[in-house]
Amino acid sequence: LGLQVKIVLFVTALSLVGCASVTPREISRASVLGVAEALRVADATCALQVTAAAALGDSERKLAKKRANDCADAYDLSRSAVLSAAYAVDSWGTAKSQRDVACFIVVASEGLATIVRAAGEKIPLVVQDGITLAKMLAARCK
Amino acid sequence: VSAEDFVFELLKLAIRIAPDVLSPILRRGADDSLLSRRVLAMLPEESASRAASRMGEP
Repeated sequence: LGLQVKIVLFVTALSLVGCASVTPREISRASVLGVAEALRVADATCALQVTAAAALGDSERKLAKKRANDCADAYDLSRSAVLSAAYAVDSWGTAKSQRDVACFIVVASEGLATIVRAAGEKIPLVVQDGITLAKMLAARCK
Repeated sequence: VSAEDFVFELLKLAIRIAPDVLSPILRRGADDSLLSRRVLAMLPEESASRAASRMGEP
């Protein structure tokens, strides 16, 4: 092989290695976005249940409304936690940033689990993925 | 002149020529890079569940 080809191959190999290594900040950013999307979908699923119950009897409507309020309270808690995690990513720089993000995500996932329980419906895949993501990150919150 | 210097000079020139057009675009690009702004856009202050539970109330 000519020298130029060898150099190109060497640079390509280096860039591939560079692409493969993911930094803690990138992991944190992706996790925050994944959990935020999961929260949005879980909340919408819960809201749909209430809307569907509007056509049913009084007792079903009351039960659905109670569940919706539970979902809303959990959403408020999770939203604050996800936002705090996002702010931690934006101001990344300290050694404890990664831990902060992980701990905020753990709090957010607790709210997410409450919504899933309250909604009681078949959980959309994106919500399941968000919960799995949060569980993976929980190990970093120590 | 390096390629980076050339692009930087070109950008400065473009901003000088059309500041009204370019500045908002550049500012918006910088704002979009903040994760907190993206999350705020994704998650409204009032949840869909809260809004749904209010429906039908007098």
